[in-house]
Amino acid sequence: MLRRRAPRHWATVATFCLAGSWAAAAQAFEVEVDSETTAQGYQLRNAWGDPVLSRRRFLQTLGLHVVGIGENENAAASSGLDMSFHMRMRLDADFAIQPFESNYADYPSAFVPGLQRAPVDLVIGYFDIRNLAGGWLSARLGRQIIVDPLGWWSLDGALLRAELPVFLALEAYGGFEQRAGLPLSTGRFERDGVWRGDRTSLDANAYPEFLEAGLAPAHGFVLESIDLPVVHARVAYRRVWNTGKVATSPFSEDRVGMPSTTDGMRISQERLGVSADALVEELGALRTGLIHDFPRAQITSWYATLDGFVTSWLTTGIDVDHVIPTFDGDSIWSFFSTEPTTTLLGRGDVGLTNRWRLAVAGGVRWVDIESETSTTMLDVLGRASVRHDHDGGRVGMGSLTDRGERGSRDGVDVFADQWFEDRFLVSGRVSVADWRDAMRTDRSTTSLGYVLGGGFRVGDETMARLEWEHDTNELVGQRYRILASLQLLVSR
Amino acid sequence: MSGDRALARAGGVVAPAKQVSSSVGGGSSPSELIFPARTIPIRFDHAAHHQRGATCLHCHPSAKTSDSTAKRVGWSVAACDRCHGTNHRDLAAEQPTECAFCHEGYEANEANRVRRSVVPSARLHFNHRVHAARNIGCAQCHGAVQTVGKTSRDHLPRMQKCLTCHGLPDGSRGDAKAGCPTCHLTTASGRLQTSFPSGKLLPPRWMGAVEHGPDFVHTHAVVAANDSRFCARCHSEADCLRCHDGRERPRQVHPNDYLSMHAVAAKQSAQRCNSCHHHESFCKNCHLRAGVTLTGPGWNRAHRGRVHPPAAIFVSTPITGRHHSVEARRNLPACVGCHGERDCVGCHATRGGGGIGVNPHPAGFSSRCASALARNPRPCFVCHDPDDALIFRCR
Repeated sequence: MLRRRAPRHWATVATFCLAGSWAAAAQAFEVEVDSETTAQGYQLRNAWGDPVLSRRRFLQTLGLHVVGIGENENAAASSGLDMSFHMRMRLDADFAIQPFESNYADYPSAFVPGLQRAPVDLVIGYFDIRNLAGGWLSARLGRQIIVDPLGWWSLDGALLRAELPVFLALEAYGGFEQRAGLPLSTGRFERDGVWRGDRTSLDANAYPEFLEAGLAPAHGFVLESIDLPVVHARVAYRRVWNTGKVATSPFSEDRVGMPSTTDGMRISQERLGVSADALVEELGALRTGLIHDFPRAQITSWYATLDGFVTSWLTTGIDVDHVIPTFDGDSIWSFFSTEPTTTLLGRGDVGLTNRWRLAVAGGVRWVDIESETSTTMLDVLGRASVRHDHDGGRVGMGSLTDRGERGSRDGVDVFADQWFEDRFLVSGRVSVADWRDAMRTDRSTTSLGYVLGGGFRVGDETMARLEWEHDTNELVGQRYRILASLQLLVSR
Repeated sequence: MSGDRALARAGGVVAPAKQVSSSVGGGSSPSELIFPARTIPIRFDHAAHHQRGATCLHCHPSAKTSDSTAKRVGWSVAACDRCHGTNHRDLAAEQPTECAFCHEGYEANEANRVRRSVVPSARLHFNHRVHAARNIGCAQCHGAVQTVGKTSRDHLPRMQKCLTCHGLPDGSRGDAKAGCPTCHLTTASGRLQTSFPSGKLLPPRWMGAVEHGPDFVHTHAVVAANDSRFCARCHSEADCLRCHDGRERPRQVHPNDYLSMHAVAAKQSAQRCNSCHHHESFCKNCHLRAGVTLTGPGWNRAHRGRVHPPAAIFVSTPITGRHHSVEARRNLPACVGCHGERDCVGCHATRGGGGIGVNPHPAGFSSRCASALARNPRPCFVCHDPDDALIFRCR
């Protein structure tokens, strides 16, 4: 029995209208609406030339910000609360996706689980309330993005922040993780390792490893130092559960016809992150952090960056980064043997003049493999970039090298943007890149590409752009891309 | 240290006037985005006037009354007239030869036409009246002007000096408000206005060590992870999502033909791809359609060749440096971009569906498998039957 879900677009429009009308009912507030429209067409092909996939993408985002909600023109009548509402909707369509690719009922052999032709999602949508309880408490309600030492992540729920009078702030939050397959949601913020989405139209034993998305309850806290001289530190904890019945056997069709399943609340992630910074203004800065993964029972990531302010125009730095891949708790890869990748880089950033700026970085990346053939795999990395900002424009160059046992990549990229009469933009970019695939030497080649673009500033915050890209390499021949965009911002 | 702390650290007490010079309080010249370029074709010697007893207010009387940057605090020509005997209100009565005394570039045959002074308003909120009422002297922000001839941009205030008061902790700051919008212009959404016709307003190095240089795109992750609230003063979620949602391609990260090159980049190291791309919803969708995966629709796999090295090297024993087990241990996220669980389970499972029980777990896993099973049994049951002896051992 196949079921189909009602289109979600109406829900999107209704939500937006409701928010708008509610905002209009408030008194002294400021409203900002921004819109960004991007249309692009290009082709790509797999490593053997066929099939060629066409992409005809249309990306539309619409943002609404209402600031100063509840404030009264008469300051004396104001509540003192600082309330605002922020929302961003997005339509990410690819009109080159063939209808049969998302129609399992009629074309099961062509079906791609999770593929949608024109999905709409709510990127953010939250109320921000500050100055509660005499100013020491603030809250956010709705879909929000949380950025902390554990990475960045999307929560549907509530977050409370208390700034205590002891150099300390405490945040606590609870709600649900944004999950692919749920209304107005994407899988962007889930942990890797689980293929998840809406299985409504699928037979139970088709793609059993494509798991039905369920609500993912989550909670966490952040403890942060505030107003301390020189140092700043954060501790973040997060736990997310998977819920609902999901298949466990990817070979169900070979057994009794139905996949075996498991049910109940299961840990998706449980991690603790700690970060600490120290900044001495005339000397330099140190930033460090680590993440402990409870299911793996080990520290899966740590990093440190040290910046030295050598002169007023020269900053040097050292970065070290150590990471073990981790996955969703439902994923079998969570418990596969994986080795940490460690990267060590030295950096320099030079202000050659007020307008010229040069940055270079170089170092190594290595992985120690302990197995029958114990070995260290070492890659050499480097990048250099220079930029010149001048009146109405900039020119620059970026380059990279990444060479090791699995191949190499070397490339140079030169770009220029120039405004004329503060209204017309001309831009260009030329790239040369060479890559060698050590595992498949026949997949090595050199590429040359260029981009030509132009823009027109219609108003202070309104901009239209058009870009043409042409790349050529021996593997895929000629590739073209055309991109048009329109940015709008209206404030009241 | 966070941006907040950097602000607070910028001073502790008001500096003596002598210390506020061009070389103290910020290093390079003030930003032209805050103080747009100005043209003042006037000859003037502050030191000479000071020696004759003139004070700042003699020439800049509105320094005590101006309550916004739109109300300029420039010199008053009436003050010039008082001492120099000139009369700018009736220029026809003036001898043209006298104009050149102060007006640079003046030509006697140009009658009363002089070069115009252009002093655009600072892009700040600032109230001279309030500061003067707090007994904050001119020199505390503008330096030892009385010792120089003509002033320059170096005598404009530096942000670090503002923070000697505005950056103090709550209890000791008095009425001086903290927070960027106290001085900086904001957009309707409440964040700082950073885009101006002449460029982008960027943070100075001393404030959080977050210079937005040409390499910042590669180094900003640690800053955001450790102190995201500092970033949020200027950036909204939209700025992060522009790249980190994988919908729009930032060319400084993925230049022109990256689409062709990305396979090699992923093979080298895919550990950080997920900072912008979720492997299952981004990579796998496209790989399924392009027919480079083992599972997925069959229609587009007709012409597919082998992605990996020959099976004799990649799959069979003996295990060499190019064996898939080494690849998985070195760079598992790259595998996940194409493969589903069943591709691994076929060999690594112990349960009845064909698995041959090749153990993929790390050494010592058995000592912590009970905890793993208790937290989430699902991955265990993908490879092991619930009544598997190995599962019993972990229970």
